[in-house]
Amino acid sequence: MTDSIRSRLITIVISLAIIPLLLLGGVLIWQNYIVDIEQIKESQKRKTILASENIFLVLHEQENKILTLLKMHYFPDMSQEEKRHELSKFLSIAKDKEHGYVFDNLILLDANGRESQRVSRTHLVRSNDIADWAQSEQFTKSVSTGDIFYSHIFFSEHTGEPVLNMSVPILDLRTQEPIGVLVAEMKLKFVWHQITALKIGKNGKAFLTNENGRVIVHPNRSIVLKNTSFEIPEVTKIMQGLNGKKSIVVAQKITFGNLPLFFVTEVPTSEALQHIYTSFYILGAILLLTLAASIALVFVLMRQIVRPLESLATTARDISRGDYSKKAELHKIKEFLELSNAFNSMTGRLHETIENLEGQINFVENVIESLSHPLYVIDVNDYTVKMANSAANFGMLSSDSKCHMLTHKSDTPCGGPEHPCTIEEIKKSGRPVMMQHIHCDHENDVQRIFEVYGYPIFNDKGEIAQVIEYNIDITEKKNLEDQLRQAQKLEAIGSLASGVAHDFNNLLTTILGYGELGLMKLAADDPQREKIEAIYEAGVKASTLTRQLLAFSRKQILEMQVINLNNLLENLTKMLARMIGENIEIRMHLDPSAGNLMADPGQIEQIIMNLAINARDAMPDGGSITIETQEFALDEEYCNIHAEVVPGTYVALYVTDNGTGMPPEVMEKIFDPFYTTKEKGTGTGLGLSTVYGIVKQHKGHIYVYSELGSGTTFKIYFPRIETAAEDKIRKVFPAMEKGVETILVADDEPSIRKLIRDTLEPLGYKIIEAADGEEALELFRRSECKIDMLLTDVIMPKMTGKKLVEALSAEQKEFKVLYMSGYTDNVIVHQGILDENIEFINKPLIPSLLTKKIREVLAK
Amino acid sequence: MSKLNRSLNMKKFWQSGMQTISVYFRFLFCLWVVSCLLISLQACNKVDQASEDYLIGIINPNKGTHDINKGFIEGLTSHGFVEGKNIRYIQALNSADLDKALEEMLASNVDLIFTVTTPATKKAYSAVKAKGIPVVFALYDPVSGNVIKSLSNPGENITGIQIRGSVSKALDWLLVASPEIKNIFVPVKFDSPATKLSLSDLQKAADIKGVTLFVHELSSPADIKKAFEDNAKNIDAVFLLHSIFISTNTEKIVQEAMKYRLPVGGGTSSYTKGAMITYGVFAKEVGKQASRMANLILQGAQAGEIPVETAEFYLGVNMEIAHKAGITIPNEILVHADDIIPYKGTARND
Repeated sequence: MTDSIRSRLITIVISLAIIPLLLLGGVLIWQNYIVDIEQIKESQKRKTILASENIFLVLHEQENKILTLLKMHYFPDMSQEEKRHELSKFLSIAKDKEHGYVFDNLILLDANGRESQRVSRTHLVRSNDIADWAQSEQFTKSVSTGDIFYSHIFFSEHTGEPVLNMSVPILDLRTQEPIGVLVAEMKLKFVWHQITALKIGKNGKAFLTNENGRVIVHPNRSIVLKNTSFEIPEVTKIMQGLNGKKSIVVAQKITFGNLPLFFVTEVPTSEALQHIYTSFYILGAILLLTLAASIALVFVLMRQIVRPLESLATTARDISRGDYSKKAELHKIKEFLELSNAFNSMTGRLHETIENLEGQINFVENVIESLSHPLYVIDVNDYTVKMANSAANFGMLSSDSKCHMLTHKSDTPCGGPEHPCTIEEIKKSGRPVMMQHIHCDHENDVQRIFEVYGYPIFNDKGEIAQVIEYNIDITEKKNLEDQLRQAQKLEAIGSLASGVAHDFNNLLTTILGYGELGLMKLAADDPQREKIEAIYEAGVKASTLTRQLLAFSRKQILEMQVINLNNLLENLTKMLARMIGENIEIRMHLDPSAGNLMADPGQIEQIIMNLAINARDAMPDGGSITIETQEFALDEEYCNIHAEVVPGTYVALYVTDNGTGMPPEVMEKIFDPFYTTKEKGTGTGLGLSTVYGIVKQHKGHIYVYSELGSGTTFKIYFPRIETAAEDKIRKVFPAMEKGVETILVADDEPSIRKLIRDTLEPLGYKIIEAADGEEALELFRRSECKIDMLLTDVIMPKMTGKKLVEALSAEQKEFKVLYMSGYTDNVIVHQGILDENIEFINKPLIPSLLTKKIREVLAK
Repeated sequence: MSKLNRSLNMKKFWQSGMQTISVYFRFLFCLWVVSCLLISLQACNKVDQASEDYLIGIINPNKGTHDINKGFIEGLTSHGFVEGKNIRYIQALNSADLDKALEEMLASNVDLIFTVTTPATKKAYSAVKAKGIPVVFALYDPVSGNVIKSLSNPGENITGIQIRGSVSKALDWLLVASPEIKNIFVPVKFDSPATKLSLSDLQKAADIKGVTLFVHELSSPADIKKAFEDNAKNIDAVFLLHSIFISTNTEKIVQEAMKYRLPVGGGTSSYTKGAMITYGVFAKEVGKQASRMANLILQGAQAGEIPVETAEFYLGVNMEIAHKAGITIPNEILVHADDIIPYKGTARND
């Protein structure tokens, strides 16, 4: 409870002014009341005595009438008729002020108490029913005392009205002895009129009761007729009156001869004490006025004191709500003026400070929000997130927003190698940390790898209070890195393989060349033939191996042409079916709009065959291979997560099996040469690496998706071209055609040169050998005859085949050139594609193919 | 001082003025509250005045006693109920109209009904009893007439004035006036319990006095002439009892009696209508007496708690008729008489 100035002032006014005033007023009223009440009682008592005397006189007057009657008429001397006449006359004359009859019956008794005469105003008197009053009190008391005797008051059976018998003794005039009694039946009703006329105050009433309090006379005759009794108070007191109200009641005893009566007056206190009440009201009014005036005074004071304070409070409240434009009112009173001025200057300073702070906060907020990666601050003690930028995507933060809950939906803090706790690390070292952390992406239900940078925030004591975490999503970056590493690995392996293949090819040329020449020379039934044939076949197998190595290392020469993948697949279906066996079904889903591509059809066939074989081996118990084509657009987004891919339209080739699938560690090495999961001797380990090489040489992309137990899908994308497909028909040349032309052979490998000479000279060609380019140039210049053709290795010491051709071209305009090579080093080939107008033959040279090619070139 | 400064000062002055005024208003409001309190306290002290508009039903099928109604209205006027100002009356003065009038009184929701005669009282009371409308009556004897059980405590919502008690004395006075009377003709119609009761009162008195009653029942005014013709030669006087028929046809009966010079007495106040000597109630006085009770009831008293009162009896003498009947009224009677209708003929010249 807080006290207000207002309530305090009111309290002070009440306690200092009003309470004493009330006390004083109360004492005065009480004093007055005590005194006044006594006075009023006294006054009413006096009035009552006066009024009672009046009533007494009224009764006494009736007594006098009877006495007068007896004085005027000496009844003992009168005849019965005279008695009756006089008594009857008296009945009709004895009236009260209001001309009401007072007596109803008059009875004359003789000395023995017997009725001697009776007259009645109301009743018929029978002459024979004379009563004997000898034993009656009315007679005995009256006679014995010689004085008037009053009977008890009784009530008429017929009317219920009170009646009184008055017995007056009749004395012998001489002896003064009672010789008779006159009994007068007096109707007390006549007093009713008297008492009604009595005025006791305004509403006061007077009434008469008998000694027992039975009301006999009352202004309201009904009260009498109702047989009402009243408890006569001994002294004047305030009590419940007959009127039913609290009244001041005064009872005055009237002794009427032997008859005691009570004359009672009652005045309602409301009337009797009216002037006391009036003075009380006046005093009360004065008190109330004083109270009102005091309160009014307090209000005026309040206006002077409280209003400025309230206004200041209102202004302060407005300002606290953010309305800095509010200024405290300036007041006339000096102290308030100073207060208002001080308040206003304080508000000004406050406003300035708040604006500065808000600006700074906005700036900081802006900075934090501009960070596109999640940033948040975590309490080190309870792991609650205290602040987060919108990139964190935490929504509204509460006291329950724990970091592990928001990032992992986990009830426990992070831990373990995948989810290291940054906070724990920072606590250990007390320095900023960076760690990789796998967060769960709840929307897509995939895990994402983050680089979390944690920075400690220290409190005043130098303890770590919070930790700032800045999270960079490196999932894509990591994937790209992995892909790049794989590519680089394969590239390196490719270089190695191509180097080996080059040298191998030269060796194989010799083996195969002489093998073939030898076989040509041997008769069909020569016992040596079988052995040479074995050498030759081994050479052929080795040559296939080198070709595959070259294909993988993308160093083989491609014979590019526009092909339609769908057509190629259709032609291949039969062969594939034969190759993979009956228990495997081949399903083709070829999209007619898949489109054309620039490729070496032989190499593409190789891809499909290799993949089909791979699929077959994954399904030892049978299954199905699905081959699909479609046009596929690889967009920027796809390219961002796949290294080397250039956006554009591609022809997609999918080869899917429902075989055993591969675990991730296998998938990682699947394109490595000589990597195989098959039993030793069943596979070379070059199948898929060849596929990889061919795809890459065609500027395509290959991806593998596999799930253990479900199968594997190879997805290959070739750049799509709009050119129509061409159908080259391979010309068939007759074997070992003869010729007369002069051929300059340049090769640094003597065995190759020797094989060529041994092959061509028997066919009639003139061969000039050169070990390198310079020698060839020399020989060319010195040659007497015209050189028809230059057969040169592409890569040679001192001078490459290309340089040699360029040099020779300067010497002689017309001669044919045929390059030969195990692989190309971008001398005549760019990315495996031959330059325009360049003729080429792959090593190892096979005599029959060589002669064919030579004839072909010379024929051009 | 510039103009602007002055206007500012004016504004300040105005504001401070307004403040002072509002303080004054508060002070005046406080004063007003105090005075209202005082006035209401004073008002509580004042006795409520009869300012309501009252509606009173009056039922008196006895044409001979219409002065009761007048007395009743006069009495109420003296108690402050002025007709047309704060009180209105619905009067039913004909036995034929009784039912209709009662219906009207019920419909108008009268505050009180004043009834004269026993049959009218019984009828009215049974009709309005359920509605709680108080009834004040003026009739012969409510206990014997089976209207109420007790005089001092009538109970329920009824009270009134009884007028019984004068018949025997009335006969006495008739006999005092003309002691030779031995045979008295009593025409009656038993149209009210009062008739039987008054007849029995009369019979008792007649037995005491040793006179013979010739009771003759009439059913219509036309019977009166015949009744006198039949009885005239046997009778010395006529006595009028409490009957609506008799009261209504007093003049006619007196007229017939006069034909035979028969003195007429009665327990009513029919000396004004030609009876020679009567001892009974004065109709107007009865009405006034009843009005006092009505006033008490209108002031809030319960009718059933007001005891039944008895009317005063008065001796009335008609000297004119006495003269016509050839009877000299003794002085003893005239001394007693409360009212005398004087003889204005030759007697005055004596």
